[in-house]
Amino acid sequence: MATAQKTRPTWRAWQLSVRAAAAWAVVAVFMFPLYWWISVSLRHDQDIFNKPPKLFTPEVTLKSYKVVLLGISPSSTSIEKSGAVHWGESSATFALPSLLDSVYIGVASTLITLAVSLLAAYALSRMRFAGHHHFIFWVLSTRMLPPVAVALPMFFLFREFGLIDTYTGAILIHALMNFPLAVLLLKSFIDDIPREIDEAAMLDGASRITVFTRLILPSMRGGIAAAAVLCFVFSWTEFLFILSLTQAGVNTVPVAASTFVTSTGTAWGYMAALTCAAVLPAFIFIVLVQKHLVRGLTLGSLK
Amino acid sequence: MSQVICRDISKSYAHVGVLNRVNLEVHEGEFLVMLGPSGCGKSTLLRIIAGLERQDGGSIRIGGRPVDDMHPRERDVAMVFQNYALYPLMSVYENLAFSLKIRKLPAANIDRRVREVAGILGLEQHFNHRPAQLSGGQRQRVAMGRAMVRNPRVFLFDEPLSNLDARLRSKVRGEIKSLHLALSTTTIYVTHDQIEALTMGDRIMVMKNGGIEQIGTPDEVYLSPANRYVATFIGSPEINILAGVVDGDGCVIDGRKFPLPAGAPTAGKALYGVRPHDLMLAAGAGEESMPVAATVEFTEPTGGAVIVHAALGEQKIVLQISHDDGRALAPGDTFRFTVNPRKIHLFDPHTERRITAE
Ligand SMILES: Nc1ncnc2c1ncn2[C@@H]1O[C@H](COP(=O)(O)OP(=O)(O)OP(=O)(O)O)[C@@H](O)[C@H]1O
Ligand SMILES: [Mg+2]
Repeated sequence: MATAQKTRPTWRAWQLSVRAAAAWAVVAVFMFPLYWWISVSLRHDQDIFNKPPKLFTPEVTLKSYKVVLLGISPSSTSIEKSGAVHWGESSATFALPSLLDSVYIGVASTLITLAVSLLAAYALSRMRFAGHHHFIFWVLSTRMLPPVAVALPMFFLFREFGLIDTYTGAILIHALMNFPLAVLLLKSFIDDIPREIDEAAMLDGASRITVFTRLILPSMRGGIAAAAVLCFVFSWTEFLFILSLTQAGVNTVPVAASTFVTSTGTAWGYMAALTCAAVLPAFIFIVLVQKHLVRGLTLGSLK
Repeated sequence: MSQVICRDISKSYAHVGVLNRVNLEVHEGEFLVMLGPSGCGKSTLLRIIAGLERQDGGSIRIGGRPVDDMHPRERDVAMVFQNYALYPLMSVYENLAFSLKIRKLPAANIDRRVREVAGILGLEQHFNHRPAQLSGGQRQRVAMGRAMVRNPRVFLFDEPLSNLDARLRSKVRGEIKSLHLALSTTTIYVTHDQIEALTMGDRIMVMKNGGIEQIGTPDEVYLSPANRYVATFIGSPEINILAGVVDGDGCVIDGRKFPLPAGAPTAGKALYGVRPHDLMLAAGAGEESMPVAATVEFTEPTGGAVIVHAALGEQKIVLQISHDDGRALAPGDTFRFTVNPRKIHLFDPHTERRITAE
């Protein structure tokens, strides 16, 4: 007995470390592409296609970042040390504006989507009207079409309204794109709030608006945060609509990244640098919102 | 002036009738209990009175005025929900003050009123707590306080005690009753618990399948149930309903002759109803006439009394007798009992309505 009890803890410890190792292995598998992409962004062009591939970057360089984010022209990077640097040279490789465009469009479209879909979700959750049941299907149906099938008619609509290549247009299309999902997600959060709370408040003399602003909104901060994260990320990574509905005036990261693929070759280093840099704003946004996510989840329980 | 009058209220959901032409008059200051099994439409009727649900037909008057086209907030009724529906992110104080703030009362008035109500319900020490930090009984109290704080014309309670444990339930039951005596606000109280109905109600309305079976004082409903359903629904253990044939001065059930009340019919089939505690063991040649023989099947001690399940012939009968009497009985024993003739309910076997003239 005594020996069995003595061996059990070590057996357990062994079990735990195997489990941890397995978990880290899975994490590593998922993180590897990200690592590889970052390492590509830090390589010289000739090191990108090493044969056999090298796991570690032979010589780290910030050249790609300088070209993409600071606008130092590619040719000048080689003579950088001599001091002949051309800052902000407008060239096809200067992609910092696309990052700013992405932030602007992502934040604005997320705010618009949230404002509209919160009201829609409340109505769908709490009010009965003719066609109530079909409504949700119709809201979702726009997402059932492949985006390509939506992009073309949208192009004609946008051209008619003069929205092609405008920020308004880009924000609007992303808001529209995210609307169905946000409505469904927020509706499920509102559905979780007992109806009786609305009813008690109305008997207490509250109007629908008061119920919505004083009771519903504060109770679903977590849900709003979750919806915000999803909307922002979808807008951040969206490619097709921006490609087809804008030209030189509006340029988001995914579209800018695609311009590094040219008929004469692909600038892998620049593409990697831009997209790695693009992880950061999205990451900051999610971290900011995540605070509310966690708070939203624990609000219901004690403290 | 705050009586509630329901005229021909009908309601159906997706073509399934829930309420069927309900007529009801709740008097000013009355405590009316709606009693009925699950799904009979009690909550629906209450919610229609509150304005949370719209009736398909009929009309509601509160305090003499039709309220059918009024929003719930204009009806000046307060409701206590089964799950309390407290505002989760507000403190107890804010929960109580919410309705007054919405009415834009002066802050000093709000504070005075909230403290007054909290004093009655003993909630002051919880003012800063969130609902999630309260026990079930405390939440129930906050829900009542929230209803009381604005002096509504009518209180509506929808099974407010069903989430409490048995002891707390009987305590709060008494508190609600004494609050009603103090405030005498017209109250409609929904429950499926007959003890709550009998102890609290000035009148009880027994419902079944969206209709009213009987409205009366607890005594009327218990002592002269209008039909077999009401008789069975109220009273515990359940009333014995035995099929028999009236024959002159008695009712023959399974070959045994049971006594009849005064003024009973003298012939024909009948359902013979008698409550378990209106049966007594025959003490030798008892003064109550006509002892009846039965065989014990099993007994259930319940503390002060013993419930005896016995067989007559085909039919079963249940007696509730004193502990001392019941202790002697064992399964298989044959014993004789007498029936209190003043406590017999006869029902028509077809309509199941009460036929005793009284
Ligand atoms: N919103 C609704 N949609 C469809 N059917 C409903 C709705 N509300 C109630 N019903 C139906 O109406 C009937 C009566 O419901 P109600 O809630 O009034 O019963 P109740 O007497 O309060 O029962 P309980 O004691 O279980 O609360 C039930 O059969 C229920 O299924
Ligand atoms: Mg109910």
